[in-house]
Amino acid sequence: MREDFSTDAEAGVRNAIGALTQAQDGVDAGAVVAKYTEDAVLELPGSDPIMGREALLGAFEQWVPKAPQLHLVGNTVVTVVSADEATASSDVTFHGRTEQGWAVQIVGHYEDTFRLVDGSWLVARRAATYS
Amino acid sequence: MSTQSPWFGVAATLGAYSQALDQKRLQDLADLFTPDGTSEIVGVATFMGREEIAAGYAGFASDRASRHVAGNVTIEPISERTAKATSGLVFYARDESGWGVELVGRYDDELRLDDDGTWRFTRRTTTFI
Repeated sequence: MREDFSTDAEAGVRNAIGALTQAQDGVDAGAVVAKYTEDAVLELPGSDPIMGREALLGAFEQWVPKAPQLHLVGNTVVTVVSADEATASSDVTFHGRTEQGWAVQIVGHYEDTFRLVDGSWLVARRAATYS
Repeated sequence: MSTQSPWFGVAATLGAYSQALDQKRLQDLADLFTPDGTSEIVGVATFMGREEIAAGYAGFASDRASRHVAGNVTIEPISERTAKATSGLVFYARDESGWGVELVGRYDDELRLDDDGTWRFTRRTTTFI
């Protein structure tokens, strides 16, 4: 029997973080935004919160990678709040490649709130901080 | 048969691979593959079966300290006993000037749950970017 991870909240949230992170390093901004709820809020250091999918799409279109890059997310702690809500905290390192080779360019932290929408765990709020 | 969630069983195998590789326990690493498992390192080599995998990886071994750190894991169950997984990879190594990022890439995996409760790679494809 095929297992549906939407019934296993922690696994579903971890899968969602992995898929979102992989999408962020791709060229399809729409695929990134599809991992957020319609009313999602993204909080980044030093700027106003980005609210809603339309605004998120505009932002992620500007952030489409122009050189090889990789966000690596780990140390994730998931807390299941209810059948359709969970929070997760994770650390992130951002790797970029320049003419000098690969380097760690950003080290940070995510505080996420996820909601289960039509069987998919989506980000309702992400607050990023950089060290 | 394992009573673990497939997600965590598969994730444990992904972690065990990285640790075995960095600790140069290559037979342990090979045992994470099914007997006919395949490891393809795109553009570098393809090893088929545990013997080839252990011998092939020995050719990459160096005395430098290293860490293969995987993250961004997604796991898709295909059946009760098979799954696919994807993840990101950063390879850190230490030289005289300290730790540095040497390689960045991704893993695309196919795994099978064996009767001993261990998820093993039937195929691991490593692609560096």
